[in-house]
Amino acid sequence: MDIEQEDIQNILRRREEQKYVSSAHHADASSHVAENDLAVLPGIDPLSEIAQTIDVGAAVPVPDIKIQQGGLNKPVLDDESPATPVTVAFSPESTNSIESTLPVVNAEPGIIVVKPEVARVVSLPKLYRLPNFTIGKSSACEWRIPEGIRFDFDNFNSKANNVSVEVKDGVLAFTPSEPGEINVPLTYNNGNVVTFCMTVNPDPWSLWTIAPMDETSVVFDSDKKRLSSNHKDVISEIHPGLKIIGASRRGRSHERSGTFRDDDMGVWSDEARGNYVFIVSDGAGSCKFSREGAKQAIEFIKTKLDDNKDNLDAAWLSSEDLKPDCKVGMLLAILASKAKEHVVALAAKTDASGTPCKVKDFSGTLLMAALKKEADGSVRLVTFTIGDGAIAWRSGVDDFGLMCRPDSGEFGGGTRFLVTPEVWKTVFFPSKDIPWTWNSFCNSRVHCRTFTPEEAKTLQVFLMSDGVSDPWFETDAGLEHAENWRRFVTETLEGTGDNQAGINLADEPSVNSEKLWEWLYFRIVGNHDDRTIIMVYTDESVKKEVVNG
Amino acid sequence: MRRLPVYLLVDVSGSMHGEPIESVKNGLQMLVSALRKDPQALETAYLSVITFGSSAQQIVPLTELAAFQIPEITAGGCTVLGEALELVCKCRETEVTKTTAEQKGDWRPMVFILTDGVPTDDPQPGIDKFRSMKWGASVCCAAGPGANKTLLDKITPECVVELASADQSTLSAFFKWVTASIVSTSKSINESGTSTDSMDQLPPPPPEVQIV
Repeated sequence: MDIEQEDIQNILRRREEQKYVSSAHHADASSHVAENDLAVLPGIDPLSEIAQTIDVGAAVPVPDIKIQQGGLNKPVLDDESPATPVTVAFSPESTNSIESTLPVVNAEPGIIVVKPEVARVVSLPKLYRLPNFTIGKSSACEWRIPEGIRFDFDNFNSKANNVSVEVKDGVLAFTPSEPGEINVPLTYNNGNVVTFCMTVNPDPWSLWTIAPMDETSVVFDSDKKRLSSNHKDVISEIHPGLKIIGASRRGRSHERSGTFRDDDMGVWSDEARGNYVFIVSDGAGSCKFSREGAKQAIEFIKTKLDDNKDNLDAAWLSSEDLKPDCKVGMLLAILASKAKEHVVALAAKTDASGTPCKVKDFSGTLLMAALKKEADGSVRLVTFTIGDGAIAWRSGVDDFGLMCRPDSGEFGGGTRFLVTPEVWKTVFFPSKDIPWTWNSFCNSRVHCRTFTPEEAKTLQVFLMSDGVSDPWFETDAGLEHAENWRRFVTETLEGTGDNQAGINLADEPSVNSEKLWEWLYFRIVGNHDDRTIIMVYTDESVKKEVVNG
Repeated sequence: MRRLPVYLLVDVSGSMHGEPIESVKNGLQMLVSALRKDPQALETAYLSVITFGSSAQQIVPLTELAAFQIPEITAGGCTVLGEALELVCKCRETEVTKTTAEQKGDWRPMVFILTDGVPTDDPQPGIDKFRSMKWGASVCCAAGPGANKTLLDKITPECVVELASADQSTLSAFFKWVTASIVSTSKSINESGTSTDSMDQLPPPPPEVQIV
């Protein structure tokens, strides 16, 4: 069976379209190209019907072109070559075309067999699809120029192509500047043209735009306050022997959608008696009034603490129980339950006033830590937590403890909130399976720790929403490692590199809280939630850092 | 970094030859270009393409959007849907990271299956395997009147959509909806930490895409 006249014409035409780079210099170039992982744009290679990956020496079926012994080799396709080469294979991995200049051996209709001794790498296809480029992330796409060939820059408009092309030490470097699809045709001095195609991705960080707020969505007065404060929220306080810094920042995802920060934080103090309470709440992102739920819960708890200063102090002083601190834990739990009732009432009131909503719309987590500074220098810490995020302490170089058990949902990410009914089924009462005891109470939502005067000297306490704990500790298990906390403090907070806060505890708290707020804009892929952190530290812990620093 | 794997299963049997398969390629191009403009999808979504004609092949392994290149797809042969279902299960086992105490794994993969005909293999083993795993929001799309909707409903119960035909404008509408579904799922993951597991959590499909 002879090859059809039409097929020959087709091949002739395609061959005409395809210009090859000089074969003598190709081996070099191709090896470099391979390193750069180049792949040819499928379907553009003029001979792509028979282009496929083969090993030299392998039998290759050629489904669409009729071939028989001597078939494709015999027709003179190109006057320049005495024995017309037939491109029989193309390997996307190596980007080498393999041409046989000798009669194809053992050829049967539909089959070409390439013998190692007759196959050699000779050609570069005209069009290259380069790996995708990402502005701000990829380094320049480099390609070693075959020896003896120069590029004709006079005929290349780099501005029009949104790409800068540089040649240095025989290496051609492309750097695209605009996202999109680009084709860069480069003319060799020998007249050959090679076109490089590339998909250019935008700098991913440039996509995180800040949308204007929808002011019509403002329902609550505190929303208006947030709007006017541009979401910036910092805390810095100096108390006898104790400093407090904190910052809460709207996440990129909320910036992009023009929505509010849902996180909130608060500090309450009764300095005269050495009593402090720190609170962080993370409003659930999917709930429309969670920002109000978080804010209201914290403000309510602070107000109630003002009313119950004596009760709180009495709870600390009480020594009737083996676990006196649990009295404080109980007080925190009661405050939280009252805050829940407050939020439930707020939801009902809001609904009744013509803004339809449910209690769930006000969902937020709650992290509370009560700290007592005793006259003898010791410190007691009691926490009550609902939901994710973390409370932890550090003392000395590597002594640390986690003061919460995050409520991680079954599928990761799901959590519980202040207004979640199940939470309250076991806090004060025995459930079907769990009898209520002080121990069970202390091991679930309440955690207690007493620090000796020596330990308290270098004590640091942290509260953080999951917007901070997720990117830096990743999992609940990650929160349990002392080494992670050491690095979090000495590198992430005190380091001065990228994504590090650069705080110096010896500086004024107001300076450090500003630095914390700036740092909370850190760039970690996949983490764009609101971020809140409160850090409490003693004067001694500052001195120690200075000595070590 | 928790990825959102998205598996696209495309019928490349003979009946898809011509306009349908070209429309699928255009649809893919559109999908990828659109997703690249969304920062959450760009960071989170990873795409894989599995074709099924005379055999099922993963022609693009799970790839981040930034590096994704439109594959060459040619249509011809029969419709081994069952084999494709077994293949996507196998790919999931090797490509998708499981959650452990020390590591947050990937999100449950989303799966979109596009077919215009009836399987030529026995799809039951593949369906059983597929149904034994928990997936994110997954949708079967009957492209044109030739598809067996009853069978598709066994793969993704309650999540079958139908296109009147497999022409350019209809397939384009389908791919736009797939794009919107991936965008909304990656947004949900990023903002509320929850994945979408059923079709009613996806954006409503356009008129060209009818819920069966």
